[in-house]
Order: sequence, then structure tokens, then C-alpha cells
Amino acid sequence: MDIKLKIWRQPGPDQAGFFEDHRVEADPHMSFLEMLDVLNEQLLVAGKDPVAFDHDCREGICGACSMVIDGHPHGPRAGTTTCQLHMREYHDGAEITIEPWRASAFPIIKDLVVDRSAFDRIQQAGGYVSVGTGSAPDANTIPIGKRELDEAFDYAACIGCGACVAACPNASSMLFVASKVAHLSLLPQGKVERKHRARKLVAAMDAEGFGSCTNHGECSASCPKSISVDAIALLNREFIRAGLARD
Amino acid sequence: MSSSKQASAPFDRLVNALTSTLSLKIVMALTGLGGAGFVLFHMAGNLQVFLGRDTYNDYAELLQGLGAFKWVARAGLLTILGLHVLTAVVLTKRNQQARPERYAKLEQRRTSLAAMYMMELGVVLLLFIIYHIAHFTMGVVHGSFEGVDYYALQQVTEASTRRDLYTHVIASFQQPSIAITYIVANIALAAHLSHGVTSTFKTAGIAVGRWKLPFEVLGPAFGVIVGLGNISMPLAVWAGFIGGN
Amino acid sequence: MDLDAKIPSGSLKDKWDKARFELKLVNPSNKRDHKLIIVGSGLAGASAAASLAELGYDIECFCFQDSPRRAHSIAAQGGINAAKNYQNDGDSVYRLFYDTIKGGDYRSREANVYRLAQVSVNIIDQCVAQGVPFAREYGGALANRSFGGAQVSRTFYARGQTGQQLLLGAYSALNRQIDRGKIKMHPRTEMLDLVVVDGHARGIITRDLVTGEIRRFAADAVLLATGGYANVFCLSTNAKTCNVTATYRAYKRGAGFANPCFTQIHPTCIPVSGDYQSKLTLMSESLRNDGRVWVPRNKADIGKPAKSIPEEDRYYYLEERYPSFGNLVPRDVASRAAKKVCDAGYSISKSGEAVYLDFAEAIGRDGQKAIADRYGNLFEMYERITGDNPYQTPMRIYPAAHYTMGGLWVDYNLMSSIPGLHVLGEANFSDHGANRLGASALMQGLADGYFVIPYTIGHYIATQYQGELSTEHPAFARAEAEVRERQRKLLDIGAKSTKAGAERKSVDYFHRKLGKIMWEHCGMARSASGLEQALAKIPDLREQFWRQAYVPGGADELNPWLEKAGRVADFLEFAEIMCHDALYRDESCGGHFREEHQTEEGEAVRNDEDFAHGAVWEYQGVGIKPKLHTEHLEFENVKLTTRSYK
Repeated sequence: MDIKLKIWRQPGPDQAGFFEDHRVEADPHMSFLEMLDVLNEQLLVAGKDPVAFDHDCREGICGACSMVIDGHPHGPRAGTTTCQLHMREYHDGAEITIEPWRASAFPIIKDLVVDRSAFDRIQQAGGYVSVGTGSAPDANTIPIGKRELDEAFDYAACIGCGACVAACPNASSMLFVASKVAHLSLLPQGKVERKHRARKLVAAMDAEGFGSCTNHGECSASCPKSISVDAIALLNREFIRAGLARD
Repeated sequence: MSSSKQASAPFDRLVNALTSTLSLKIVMALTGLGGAGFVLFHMAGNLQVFLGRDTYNDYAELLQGLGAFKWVARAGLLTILGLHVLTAVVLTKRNQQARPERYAKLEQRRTSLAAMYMMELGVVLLLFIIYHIAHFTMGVVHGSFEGVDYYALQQVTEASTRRDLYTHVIASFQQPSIAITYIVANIALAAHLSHGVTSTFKTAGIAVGRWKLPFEVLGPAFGVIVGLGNISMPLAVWAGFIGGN
Repeated sequence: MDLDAKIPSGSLKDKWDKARFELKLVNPSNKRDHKLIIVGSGLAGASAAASLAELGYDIECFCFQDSPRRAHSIAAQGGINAAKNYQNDGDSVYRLFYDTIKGGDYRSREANVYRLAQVSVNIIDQCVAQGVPFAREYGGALANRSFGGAQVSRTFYARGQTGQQLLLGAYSALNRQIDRGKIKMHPRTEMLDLVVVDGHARGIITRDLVTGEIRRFAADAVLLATGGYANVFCLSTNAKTCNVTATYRAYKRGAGFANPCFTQIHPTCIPVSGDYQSKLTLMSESLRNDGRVWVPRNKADIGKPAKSIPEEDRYYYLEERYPSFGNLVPRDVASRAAKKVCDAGYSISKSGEAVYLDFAEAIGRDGQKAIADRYGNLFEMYERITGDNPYQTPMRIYPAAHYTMGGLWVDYNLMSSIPGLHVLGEANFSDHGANRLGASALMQGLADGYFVIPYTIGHYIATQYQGELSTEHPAFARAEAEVRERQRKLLDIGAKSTKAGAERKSVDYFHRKLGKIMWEHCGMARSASGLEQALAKIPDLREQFWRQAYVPGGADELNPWLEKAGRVADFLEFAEIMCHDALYRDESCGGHFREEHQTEEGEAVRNDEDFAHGAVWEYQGVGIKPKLHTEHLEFENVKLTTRSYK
């Protein structure tokens, strides 16, 4: 299949970016990233600069891949990372626009590669249970109901890719922050520090310059792990609870 | 003690609590809820226009006679409006700064038009509120037209001589330009409420789990009810259903 | 090369206790003055960094990913073993030890494996306390499943993403220490060389992958937790950036590399669909619980739709060859059986590398809903990748390189043959012998990081601390100069090939070529003649690489092609050591199958007389056969038997 690409190129963080047109002969069984590999091989052999993009596991779990494809983070198929998107989703002659995640908190490093270290800094602010190695009680000491566990797991499934920020009209990272807060505050292990965690994570999120949530739900609709937007309401609840608390 | 934990010292906590995006969202939600309550009350009161000139003017006279309480209410409403607008401006600015470079293309999957244009709708509503107050409350715009000073019209009853707001309303809505202005503004209001009311309960952390669906229905339902209720008045005047001689 | 494993004396079950008493401690108030470098932030690296920072050491942690959360441990699906015996089904520390030794085909150290089984129970406690959502029963207790043919249910799991949840647990522990200022984290930073001063590992040379800055870091000890080298096959289930560079460059600085030929081929992966293939996706081993593996019995049926082939014309080769284990034989056995039928011409795809994994019978028996409950997410993933619906047509699968048991040689204290250089997780060779059991990789990574290295590193610091060291030391300058020179050479090939008007070839081109050679000659089945061919081809390919591999871009910017070129260049050298090792090991054991050593029915034949040892290779120069050392393996507790799954 003949694919026309319009790809964002940006040599460096402080340089101006622009769209560049390319054509690739693709196979319907290729993954989207394999199609880009083919493009890069073409560019390389022709002595041109290949397109930089983040990718790693290519099986939908590491969260490295990050591109907005025709206006959708991770492309048109819901619940799918870019690396698991395949060319059979497209017709012969399709024109595809590829852009990086766009948010001031995710500065572009090169082409489609962005700096998502803001997410790490948010997690460092309190996205953990303070338990030192060796001080854990026997794993079966605290029973956890299957239902609450399943709910916590749905939020723990976040891969930290940033599609929520990319999709949000406000570039808000609420779903990312909320997933961690919801995961830990729903489990008994995480309840002890829940107030501290909610305050710290929200403050860290603000410090990174993400936008605010206006309840569009675009984050959840674009989340490759289909994390429910309920997480955000849970974060709001945790934040209010923490705000009303005396300690 | 870790450095981060010290940051929750009382003063920092207060500063955070006042400037945090989430706190501003909560202020926006609460003031929005106040506003929503007011427009519902306002609509219910005004629907009395269907009950005729006497009832309607009775109601207007009652409100005007509240004295100090009237000014407390007005101050309260103004504060609510002011905070709502202020948080909207601050948050919108933050949102714009969060994405300085726009996408060539960003498709929406789930959100509504109302949600996408909350700020624009808000601006429309703010302008409308100013006009509306200038129109009926102060009479400086459309107080008089076609040579009649409707704002100054009086109704003489056995008990008192009072402002004939009823006639001012009917006459106004008989003017197509004014009626259309009110209808358009109320469509904007309905849209603003349909997203805003649901959003309020999400921001408050209530619309989640089994409460999610009821609140997702509540917003649009509320918007439609208030919008239709308000629009019914100019429509009824236009159709000659009320105010006909 | 000194290969004293330093195994404590005494009975097997007391060894670790004894060691912990005998290992010297570092005064708590002195720990903050000791800097440790940890390279890698996967399960082993992150857990070690967090635990050592909790003890008070000054930690610098490095990863080449943009975040420590993206280390490839994240992709492990199945689960993690632990001898908790929560199911009361007869498990014990000794049984886990025994299964691991036997599963490894008796090519690992008893003492290490026993310690691994001992600390396995603590790992589960630790992870649960961090908030890892392991599967639970309705009553709230932890659930277990049997995995990889084990006869007890000792595998803890978190849906199909156990690795992700465990890594996020370790990542959160790491983050907590970063927050406390105890760990300095360096993401997007790649280690390019090890610095050895007076025989001790004292630092590393790194490249900042965003700015290209080359930096020196000095420390009192260096810990490598840099994973395995399955990407030597180019196509594997590993992430694209997994590489051998850190361990290989340590090897070039004098660390012994043990059993490099021990690689694991996972039997159930999605087959290659074309030349453009960039990676292979693993489908969880659990699928073999209900799926039946077959190929057409008659070559005439190849290419026909699976449904049109009648039952009697299907060859369920695992069930027929191994009646008692059937489709649940261990990974190495299942993989070789698939290769055998495909080599005989019964592959169901044009590529010659695919067999069916059929769920029709299970769906007929239990209903589609029951199967969807068990494997729904896997079926969905399969459909997404292949476009086929496995509820309707059988899955196509083929083995793929997955894990490497070989790695840098370490003693009982996880220290390599270079004093001060410690190696953790998949990067070392210690615990899995010639074959790793399912759900044991996560266990080993976390055991090393949480519960072994925190005890053993102190002993090195307390007894062999070499004093303060500046990065101005000539050894740093030398190592840095070599790194720069190598980088310049890589970038120069492109410039030269352009000037000469020669055909530009991508680094990927060479990686694919190398992968083909290795898969063909050093993959699921090996032979002396094949390995000799490989040893003849690799130097040619390497020479061609250094002439033609075009590396675009510059050194002082984000340059993924330069990164890849460096890694592939190392694979092109390392592959030879693998082949030397495979050629030397003149027996079949675990994942290493030498065609010369099999029974008439094609089962592996081990040679305990001559090969019950670890083969440890010492660097002699590029293209020169490395020097062999051996570590004899003592089996005092288990009897060496032939594995049989008939």
C-alpha cells in the first residue's frame, strides 16, 4: 500500500518545527512503527536525516511510544498504543499526519521525541507507599477484597505514556496523577499516606505546568489502557478530604 | 523527615490550598452551583408571567421590597459571578500556557461541543447578564423604545402604585431583536449548564461509580429545563399566547 | 582469573544465614560516604537502588530509557514464583530449589538457587506492602496458579502484567529515595565503559543521550543490572533497546562472561510476518493450558484453511511425543519440537516458521465465555497484531528468543571477577543454569536487588574499600578517550561511505544479518559445523559493518542511530563468544541443544562427566578466541537425573 505521510520535524528543542511530506510503500501486516522503520531506512540509505521517535517494547506496555496520529494520540484505534497499531487500519493511498505530544510540560527534544520527565517528578513527590525493604508483614496479613483489588488494578494499569495529556484540550495530566492516587488510596497499604499523597501530587502536577481538568473525558478516551475518567473524581475527592483534614 | 514532607507545613499548605489548580476548580464548581441554583430560581419566578400581569407584578414587588436582604443577595450573586469569572480566567490562562503550540489536528472522541466552548459560552453569558441587568433592572438599555418609556410604566392597584414590569417584559419580547437575543442567550445558558452542572459534581468527587450516570444526566437535563423554561417566555409572547390584548 | 564462588560452608539451608553473619557490616554513619553506581533500573536495578539508599548509601542510578519505569522488566506477563505454600499443596523452599535446579538442567549452583528459593517468600511480602495488586481470591487472600508445568501452584500474578506491576512497585520505592535525596537518577544516560582502577571497578563513562555529553562517574563500587542479550538474534521478544553493551564492555575490561550460549527460546510467540519485522511478541505460556499445538500430517494439506483439515489429518506432535505432559512440556522441549516439524517441511506458513495453537476443543468443551475469561486480553492482543480472530481460527505461533541465562560470572555475593563490580538480575549467570523456569526471572531480579546485594555489598565496602578517587585519575581519562574514539569511528563510517560513493547500509541491515546467522546456527539447535560457519561469517559481517554502516547525525544531539550503532557493534563482537561457548559445550543441556547429542527420539543428552561446570570466558582481543576458565559445580544435595516429560 502507498502511504503518504506528513511528519513533524524539529531538529532540536529550541529550533522551529515544520511538517515534512514523505511516501512509504507499506504492507498491511506491518505495525505502524515498522512502517516508520521502513521510512527511516529509506531516508538513511538516501543520506537524509531519519525521523526520531520514542519506542521500546513494541508490545504496548512500556509506554515509550508517543505520537499523535491524525489528531489521535496513539492513532485511531481505541485502547491501543502506537506500537500495536497496524497498517491494516488504513487504506491504500491514505494520508497520515504525525505530530508529537504537545504540552509545555513535555518539551520536544527532537522530531517526535518529547521529554516526559515531568511524570517522574510527579511520582517522586509521593506516588509510593513508604515501606522500607524488609519491613513488610506477611503478604496475607491484610485481606483485600477481589472487587476493591480489581478496581485498584484498573488504575494501576497506567503505562505513563502521556496520551492523556496529549489528548486533553487543556494539556492536563489529571488522569495520570489520579490513576496513581486512586490505585494507592483504594488499597489498605496506601491509605495511611493518602492525604499527604493527594496534596503532594497535585502540587507537583501544578509545578510542572500542566493544565486543569475541565471534565472532557478525552484523556480516558485516548488512554491505551482505557483507564476510567472516574479516577479524576476520586482524586478530587481525595484532595478535598486532604484539604479538610487537620493533619 | 524528608524535604517534601516539610512542605506540608501549615503556611505552605494554605498557600497550596488557595492557588492549586484543583482548589480553583472547586471554587469554580461551587460558584457555578450557586449560579445554577440562582438561574433555576430566577426561571421559576419569571414563569409567573404566564399567570398574568397582576401575579407577575406582585412577585416583582415582593422581591423589590426585600430591602437590605435584596442588597445582600445582590452582593452575594455578584461575588459568585466575580469568583466564577476570575477562576475561569486564571484556569483558562493556565490551560493555554500548558499548550502554547497547537496541534495541526486534534480530534475529539468523547467531549461535547458545550464542554469545548465553555469559556466562549461564558463570555456570551457575561455579556448577556450585563445587558439583562441594564435592560430590566436598570432600564438603561431598551428601557424605552418606540416612543414609550416602558421602564417607567406604573401599575396602580388598590394597595400600591408599582412598576409595571409585566408590560415591559411583554413589550420587549414583542421586539424580534430582543426576543432573539434572549433566546440565543438561553441556548448558551442551557449548553453552559449542561456541561457545568455535571462537571461540578465530578470536581466535587461525587459523580463517580454508581453516582456517575445520574449526574451525567442531571447536567443536560438541568440545562434543558432552565433553557426551555426561559425561552418559553419570549416564544409565548411572540405566539401571542401571553400579552395579547 | 579467580573464580572462587565463595560459597559458605555448612548445610544448604544454613549457608545464607551463615553468610549473613560472616559478611562484614559497614558502620551506618559511614554509609553515606560511600557512593555506589547502579546501571539499569529494571527489577534488579531499581530494587537494589531503593534498598541500598534506605541503608544510607549514596546512590547514582542510570538508565538509557527516558524513565526508569520503562525498563524491560515491565513486559513480563506471567508471574513470579515464591515458596509461600499458601495453597497447602506441598510446596516448600526445598521444592522450589529442587525444581529450579532440575529445570536448569543441573548447570547452576546449589547454594545460589537455594538462597533464591529462601528469599522468594520475602519478595511477595515486600511487593504487596508497596501496593502491588496481585490477584486475590474472593475471601481476600492471595491467589496462585501453576505455571510452566510446575506441579504446585506457587506463581503469584497480577493479570497478564505481573512484570509491570512489580516494576512499578520497585519504581515507587526508587522514587521515594529520589524524593528523600538519597538517589540521584540519570535517565536517558547510557553507560559506555567501565573504569577499572588498580584492579577494582571504580566508575563508569556515560553518554547523555539528549545532549551527547560524555561524562565520568567515580564510585566505591559499580553494580550492573542491565538485563540480557537476546537481541543478539535481532528478532526477539526483548524491547528494541535491550543490549549487551554494559556487560560486554565490562567483559572487555576483564570480567568473566559465563555460559553465554545459554539462551532461552520461548515457544509461543507470534511468527514473523515479513522482512520488515522489528520484534516478536510473546503470547503467555498459560495459553498452552488450553491450546493444542498441531501441524498438518500431510504436506498436501499445507496452505489449506485449518478448519478444512480433518481431525485424523492433524499432527498433535507434542501430545503424541510426550503423552504425559502433552502441550505443557517445558519451554525448551516445546520450542525444539516446533522447530523439528517445521524443518521437516510441515510449517503452516510460507516463511517455514509457524505451527497452530488451537483452542477449538477448549471452546467446545468450556464455552467461548470461559475461554474469553481466561485469555480474553491475550486473544485481543493477538487479533490486534495479526488481524486474525483466534476464537474462529487457530493461532499461529513459533518460538522466539526470549531470555538469556548466561551473563557475567558472579560469586555467591554477586561480585564478578573484577572486585567491586557486582552484577544483578538477568545480567548475571548465577541462578537459572541452562534453562529458566517460567515466572522465575522476576523472582531472581528482585531477590538480587531487595535481599541479596544489600547484605553482600557491605562486605566488599568493609573489607576492600580502595579509598577516595577523583575522576581525574588517568584510568578515567583513558576510558573516556576510548569511548570518544569509538564514537568518532562510528560516525566516520557514514562520512567515508558517502565520500566513496559506496552503498549506504543501515545499522539495522547488519543487525538483521547477524540475527539470521545466530538464529540459524546458534539458536534452538546447534551443531559443530553450523557454529564453525557462524564463526567464519561473523568477522566478515563485522568488517563490513565498520566499512558500510551509515550512522547519520552527530555526537552532540539526540541520535538514536548512533546509540544503536554502538550496541550492534558490540553484538557483532559478542556473538562470537556465544558461538565459541556453544561450540565448546559439547553436550545438550536445557536451552543449549547440540544436534550431535540427542537420543534417537531427538531428546537432549547431557554430559555431566565433562560439562558439569560453568564455562567462563576471558577477553583476549576482538576476533581472538577468548580464554576459557571453568567453575566446577558441586551437587551435594540433588542427584543428577535425566529430565523426562514422556
